[in-house]
Amino acid sequence: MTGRIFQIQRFSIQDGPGIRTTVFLKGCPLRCLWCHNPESVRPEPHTFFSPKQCIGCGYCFQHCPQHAHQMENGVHVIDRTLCVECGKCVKGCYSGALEIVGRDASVEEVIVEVMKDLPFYKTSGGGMTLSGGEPLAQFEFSRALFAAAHENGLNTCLETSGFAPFERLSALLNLVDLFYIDCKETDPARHLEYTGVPLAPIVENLIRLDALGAVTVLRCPLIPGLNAREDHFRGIATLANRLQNVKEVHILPYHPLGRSKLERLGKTDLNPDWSFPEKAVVEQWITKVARDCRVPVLQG
Amino acid sequence: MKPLQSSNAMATLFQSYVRSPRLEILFHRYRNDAAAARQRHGGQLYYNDDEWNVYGQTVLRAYQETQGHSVILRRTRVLEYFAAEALIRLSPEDLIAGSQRFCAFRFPDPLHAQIFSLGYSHNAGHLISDYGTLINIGLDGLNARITARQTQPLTEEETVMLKACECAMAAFGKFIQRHSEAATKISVRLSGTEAQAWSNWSTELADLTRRPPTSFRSALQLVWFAQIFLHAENPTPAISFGRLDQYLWPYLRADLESGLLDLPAASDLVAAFFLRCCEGEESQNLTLGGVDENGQDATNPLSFLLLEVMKNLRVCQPSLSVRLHPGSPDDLVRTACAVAATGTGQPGFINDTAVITGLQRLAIPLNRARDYGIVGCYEPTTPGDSYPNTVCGIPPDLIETLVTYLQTPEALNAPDFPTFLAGWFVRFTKAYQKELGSRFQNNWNFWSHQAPSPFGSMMMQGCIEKAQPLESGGTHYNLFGINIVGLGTIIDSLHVIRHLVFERRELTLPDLSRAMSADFPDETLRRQLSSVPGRYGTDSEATNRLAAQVSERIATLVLESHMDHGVRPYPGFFRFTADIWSHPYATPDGRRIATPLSYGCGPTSSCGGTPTSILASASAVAHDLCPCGNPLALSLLAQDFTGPAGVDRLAALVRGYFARGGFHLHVNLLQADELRAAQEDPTGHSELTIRISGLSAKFVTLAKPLQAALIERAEHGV
Repeated sequence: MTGRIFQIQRFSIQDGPGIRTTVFLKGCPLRCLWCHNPESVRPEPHTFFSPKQCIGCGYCFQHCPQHAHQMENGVHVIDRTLCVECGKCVKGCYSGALEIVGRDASVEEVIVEVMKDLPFYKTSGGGMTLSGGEPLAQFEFSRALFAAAHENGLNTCLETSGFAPFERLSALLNLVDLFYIDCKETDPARHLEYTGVPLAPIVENLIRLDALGAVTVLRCPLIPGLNAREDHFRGIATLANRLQNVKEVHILPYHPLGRSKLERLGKTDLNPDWSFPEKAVVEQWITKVARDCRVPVLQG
Repeated sequence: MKPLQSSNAMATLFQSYVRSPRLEILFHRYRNDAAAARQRHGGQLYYNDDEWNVYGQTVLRAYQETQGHSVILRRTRVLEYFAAEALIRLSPEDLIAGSQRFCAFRFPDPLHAQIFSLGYSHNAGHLISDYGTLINIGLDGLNARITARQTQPLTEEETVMLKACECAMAAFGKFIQRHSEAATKISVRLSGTEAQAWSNWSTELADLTRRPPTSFRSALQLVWFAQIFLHAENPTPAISFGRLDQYLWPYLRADLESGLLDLPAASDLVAAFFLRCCEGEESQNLTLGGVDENGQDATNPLSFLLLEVMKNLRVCQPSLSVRLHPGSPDDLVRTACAVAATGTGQPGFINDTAVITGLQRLAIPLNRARDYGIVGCYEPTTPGDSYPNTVCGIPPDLIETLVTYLQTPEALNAPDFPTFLAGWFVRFTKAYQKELGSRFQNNWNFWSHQAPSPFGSMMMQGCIEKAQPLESGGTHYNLFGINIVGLGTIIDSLHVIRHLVFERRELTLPDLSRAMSADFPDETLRRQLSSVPGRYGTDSEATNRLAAQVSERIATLVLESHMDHGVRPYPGFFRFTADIWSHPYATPDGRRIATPLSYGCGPTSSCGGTPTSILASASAVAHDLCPCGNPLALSLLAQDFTGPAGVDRLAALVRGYFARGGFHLHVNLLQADELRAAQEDPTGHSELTIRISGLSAKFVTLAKPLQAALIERAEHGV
């Protein structure tokens, strides 16, 4: 079986316990305004272009059948309306300015890569994390990966938006040791506005999964100007307190890493004003949630 | 006090060393003197002009007065004059007596030329003396060995040698006696309990001139006196302490149990000792942890104490090496990692499994191999019975032999890569054999003739019994380190040649040679070379196998070679000191002349690997064939290694690497400064990867405002 991935990141240290390898799956049903992995949204492969890396060798100009590579006022640009993502330009790009994001990989191939760090999982209690994109959008592939990882004795962790048919989550119950589930926005109207999908099925999934005994961590992005609000953070604590098996709540301060990726995808920045929240502000919110919450609240 | 058993108890005992007021004075004295010395000598070692001048003059006079006499006598005369005339400075706040600040031999001074013109020479340092025996039997015990040997038949040369040893020991006693007298002088200036304490200390010092030490402090003091005297005899780097936690723990335990010392006082003594080490020659290594001669874990409370003191002082000397084996207590690993997390580059971690196997390949028996200590930076040797010369053999250059090989008919006509590789290896082998028989052997012979060390020989097993100086093969194991530089660059270069020249046929060797000799005028070609995927450090099958193959063949070549007088060459992939080596040739991996070579046995800094892939690649190297040392320096982001979770993470990396057979590891923690440098010079840092909340990106590809924000975050550790 194969699935579509866009990165296998060894030495991941923020995606679950210990030293881990995170497999990023491509394709996501959500359209979060602040998405920090914009290259993961579409299921199809993308051409990534980093102008700063370009050495101007001209290979792509000569080899692009669509003539999508152009000079505009002395600047190398890609006309995305012409580009068909054939990857011909990437093949000869020695500078690393052009790369294809997204490829098909078999379960075996991914597991071979993941198993390379087995000695470090053993010494750190780590393992494999699936992230994305949305791993549940490639459910059969994800399930096969988790099964293979468990067979090899690895700790497993799923990072998910929670937006998927419940049967998919429940089917992973015995294969996933730790569920990292997003809690992006607790106001239903805003959730729909910010992420493009309704909140209710996610909350329902969380509660049903909890009832089945799944160990979860709530992952809450803190986006200044959007969800940095009293009611939302009270909502997080309320939700966490309804769950029996939630282990921790993580507050993830927004970071604009996705923005330079947008640039490389040839997309425009939706909100150029967003920036890192101040450290004091982050701590303030953490303290607030922690006051109302039964479980530890940490910066993620 | 009860005997200390559990390692958990050991770790918790030493969690909070705080400098006493007295130590605070010593610490600031060191800091101020060092700053002043740096200003005076331009960032060089911390020597003192007055002490150097007195020392330099004694060497000069000794050599002037002994022209025409045997070398060993001349060198003995140096020690006698030094013992009688060295400046002795002792202050009421001192805890350990004796200064090494005379040791300025490697700095420009007209006196040097004068001294060397008289035929003066010294050996190459880099060894571990038998401090255990010194403190066990004391000066009288050592002298008795000479007397016993003198009752047996001796040649004239042997008689001279033993006489020199006798004089050297007398001088050493005199040197200690003068410190005892200085202590008396201080005691008469003081009153009350302080005067009494100094008077007692003076008596203890006087006792050391004959009898073995009776306390932890006097044992530590005797080690330090011997260390000074070894430097007076051979003012060279890397005269190392060996397993100090092993030979001094019985003294500390006795003092703790009798109540003579408590832990804060013992820690202060060690701190004062460390500050003394900072005064002297570089790379005085101190080994702790590991297994004992029976293979059992030898960690003891002193192992922890040494680490805790280093964590507090954060000084560069002594260089701490922590020996680890599968049974090392987790607390030791964690305590050592907590020191590493302070970002001073201390300590280095050494893997018992790889080292002990490697040393046995040199006909060193298992029990002695298990007792190894580290010399200099990361070079293992057996303490007290090896003359290892760890950094003396710079073999033919891997890079140069490859670059010049590319233009030979063998290379140009090679039908496939294996034939090409074999041809290069033949060439390297010939060059190595030539050096071995000429330059290396000549160096060894030179020290044997020109630098016999009577005192150093007293501090080694076997020399008195054989009545033969250390430098002539007096002790049990005579080794000669062969230091091979640029392994990672060579692997990448071979990988590129295989890929582009032999597999894809996209490039010819003459074209490659031409581009290299012009230092890559065509950036596109250079990028083509440097972007060949699967470089060493990314854990790719192709380069891992090359690393295993190349390191094994070269190491075996060295291990199977022999020198005269039973000297065994032993290989390591490094060149001494932590210097970054540039190289006059550009290399097939697209490296320009100005870019440094790979360091130690590790990959190039632009390999594009993650910490775990770098460790995985490096574990492919034939570590247990390289007992002279295979250092690996890993650069990590400081922010990933803060707090207890960061310490655990570091411990997991070290343990994981050693489980895979790695030899040595030390970590550099990257701070905001490194990120700033990357921002200024993107091409030099093209692979620097940044992680935030589990996401990663190449730093140099990020927009400038984002880079700035990341630097800010790195600065604040968030």
